[in-house]
Amino acid sequence: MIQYDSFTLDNGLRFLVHHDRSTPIVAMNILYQVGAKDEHPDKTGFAHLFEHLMFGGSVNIPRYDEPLQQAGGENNAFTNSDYTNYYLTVPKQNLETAFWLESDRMLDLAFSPKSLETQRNVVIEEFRQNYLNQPYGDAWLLLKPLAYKQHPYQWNTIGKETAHIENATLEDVKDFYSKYYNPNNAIVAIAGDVQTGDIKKLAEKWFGSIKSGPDILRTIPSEPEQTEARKLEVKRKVSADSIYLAWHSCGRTHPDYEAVDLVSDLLGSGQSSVLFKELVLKKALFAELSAFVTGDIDPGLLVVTGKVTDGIHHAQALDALTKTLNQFKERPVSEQSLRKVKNRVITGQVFGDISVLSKAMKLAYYTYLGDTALINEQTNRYRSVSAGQIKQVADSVINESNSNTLIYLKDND
Amino acid sequence: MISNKTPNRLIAPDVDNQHKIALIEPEKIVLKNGTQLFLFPDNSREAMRMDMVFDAGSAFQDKKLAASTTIGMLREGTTKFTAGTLNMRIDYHGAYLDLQSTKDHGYLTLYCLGKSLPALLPLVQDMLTQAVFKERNFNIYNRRQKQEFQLSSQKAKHLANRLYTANLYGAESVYGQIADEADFAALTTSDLKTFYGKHFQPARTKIILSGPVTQKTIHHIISSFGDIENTLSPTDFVQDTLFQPKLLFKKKPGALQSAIMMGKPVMLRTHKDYFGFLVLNTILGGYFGSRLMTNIREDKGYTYGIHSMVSPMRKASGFTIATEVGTDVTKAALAEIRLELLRLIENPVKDEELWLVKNYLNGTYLRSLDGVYSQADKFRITLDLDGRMDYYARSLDAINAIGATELKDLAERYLNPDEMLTVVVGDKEVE
Repeated sequence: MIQYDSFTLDNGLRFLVHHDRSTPIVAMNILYQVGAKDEHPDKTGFAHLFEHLMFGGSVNIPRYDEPLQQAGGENNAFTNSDYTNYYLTVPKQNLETAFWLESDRMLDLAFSPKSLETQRNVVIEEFRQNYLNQPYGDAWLLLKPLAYKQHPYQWNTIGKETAHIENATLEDVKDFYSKYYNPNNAIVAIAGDVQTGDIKKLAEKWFGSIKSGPDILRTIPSEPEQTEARKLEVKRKVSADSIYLAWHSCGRTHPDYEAVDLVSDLLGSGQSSVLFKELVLKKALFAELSAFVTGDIDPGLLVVTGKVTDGIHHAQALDALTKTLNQFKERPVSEQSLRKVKNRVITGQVFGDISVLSKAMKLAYYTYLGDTALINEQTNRYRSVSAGQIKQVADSVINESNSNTLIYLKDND
Repeated sequence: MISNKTPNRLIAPDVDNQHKIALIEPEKIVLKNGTQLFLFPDNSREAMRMDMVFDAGSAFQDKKLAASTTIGMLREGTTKFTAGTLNMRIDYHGAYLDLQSTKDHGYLTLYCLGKSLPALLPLVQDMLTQAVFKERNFNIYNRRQKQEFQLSSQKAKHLANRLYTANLYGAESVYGQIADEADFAALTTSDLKTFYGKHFQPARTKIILSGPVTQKTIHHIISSFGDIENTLSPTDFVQDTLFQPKLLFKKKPGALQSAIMMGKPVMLRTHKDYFGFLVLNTILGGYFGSRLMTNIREDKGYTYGIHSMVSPMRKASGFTIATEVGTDVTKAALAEIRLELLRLIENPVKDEELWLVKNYLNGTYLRSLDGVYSQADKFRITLDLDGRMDYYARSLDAINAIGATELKDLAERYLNPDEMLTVVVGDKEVE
């Protein structure tokens, strides 16, 4: 159970506060409700590039990192399709430094052309390091546009291509900032040995005078139902053939979400999971196999991915994978298996809730989902999934006509 | 004491970095067969973590891959339980079993809820005493590992790391040995059984428990591991480091980035210079605001990241700078790294930077020693020393006491770029 207080400043900035007296560290998480899905199709990768620029200095503070390190703090950030998340931890007596730093970059950025130039290069190197110069690194750059034809989930957070990043201008940066980086579009969560009254005072002092921005009207196209199987085959210089299967599923707050997540665990999480046991350990057709859900806020994907065993033809492996998936759908899930995947989820949550940082992140995230209280209902929602519901979601999601198959082959030339 | 006045945004709020870190010296229980048990109890928690530490790293192996494969296969079946049963039971209890090996150690770590531990201990006990290493399971496991090795061989970073390690310690030395593809074919189950028999003696195991530890928990550990007899005397190894500074280039056609590794062997953890060198390393490349990051990423944009690190082991330590940079800027990046090393040798660190780095390190220690799980993690490292958490208090005192003159002296002695090994893997030759 994660207890919390919440309050909202006049400018619309929401605060969540969680007390944990067991630690000298305080975590602060700021979530901005903007992600890659808000980008223009011709200017992708921008939300993430912008995240880098948030460290390039704000109106009154030339460098973000330096004062935080002086305060013994540490920070980082990430961007995904749905949101951009900044987080830090700091010794509790130095928490005000965090308020000073975060409020200044919400107030106004420095917008230096030099910072833009450098971070464009840094992000292009990141693109190369993690996607282009990496075996299988472009798999998701291929899989997402295969699965999504309308919805902006069709591009990755890093962007469609490096050219989009190269072309970003200072004008784009300023527009993006004034549209999205406003108190009414952000959520602050703080966890540690703190008092809500003190946090209120700090919040008022540092964030209270920041002006709210215009309401954001989102017109994100929804993805039409897929009616025909899609398949893409590519050849690359990799060491083994690989298969990616993706089916459209539901969004993060949909009543079926937990059931679909458990389906992915039953299929491919842990060495006793159905696919791993059958195809890796028993038949040895795959060297690796796993299944997971993307967990996006709008309808996301259920994904199975595996590396084919050296010497096995990929068609034989895919065939066996399809058969095993069909058997899974036909046979009712045993009580023991269902309890197993639920137990794994529960242990994962218990370990996750040890750190104040992960609690602060979760508080901001569930608030963004629309209901902070969900944070404490999550376990029960998993517990209450029935075998019947597992069968029903497996039937509706794992379907040929709803499938996207990426066959990623090694190029022997 | 928060003032309600309009804040002055031009001045940083005051900071206080005098942290009181409450170090926990664990209770130690020696089981009757010699197994050492260390306790980090926190009964407000449900999460239980059990670490078992073995003298079973690759430094102890007579054949390459024996150490990592032996520990990796502990969950592949015992006389009592098949691999399927082990996996099902571990997963059913919502537990996670992590099996790792380093150059010095083998590690078995079990994460579970406190209430599940008694049900899981018999499985662990069997893995440590009755593992069978079946031929069929071995063939599948070994082939999977080989495929993973082949995958990593496609990455410039891994190729650089192999070449670097072999040349940092000497390819014929225990720390410098590097596996290649042929080693997978040469490995047999009898190699594993030999290694297992020698190095997984429960009686020489160190067990660290963190989380909800009660008398009952201790009793369960004693009855699971306390009666297993010691059959062999402890073994040791010798590391004969053979190091020569040089530049090595390996061509990786078509690579968009070059992987760079640069460094040299340095002092052991017990050496008087060690703590000071940690500060020097932090300044150079040990945190986000480091000189290497500030220059090569934040100013030049040559890379997504560049870091330096100290890797202390039992018999040798390595100092390493590592990065991946755009192919076209490889030479320029190497020149900048050299420049940063020379700057530390030639000019004393300014007070403000040293103050910042000390504050940062104090915060890092506070963070990394926060709660029983983190302290247990840190305690594991001290097992090769005197097994006392007091090590971290001494370390922090030394860090806080060091001055710019001493750091400059350390840089002169340890950071001369001409005394370093440089490995570059990429598309474009550098000389």
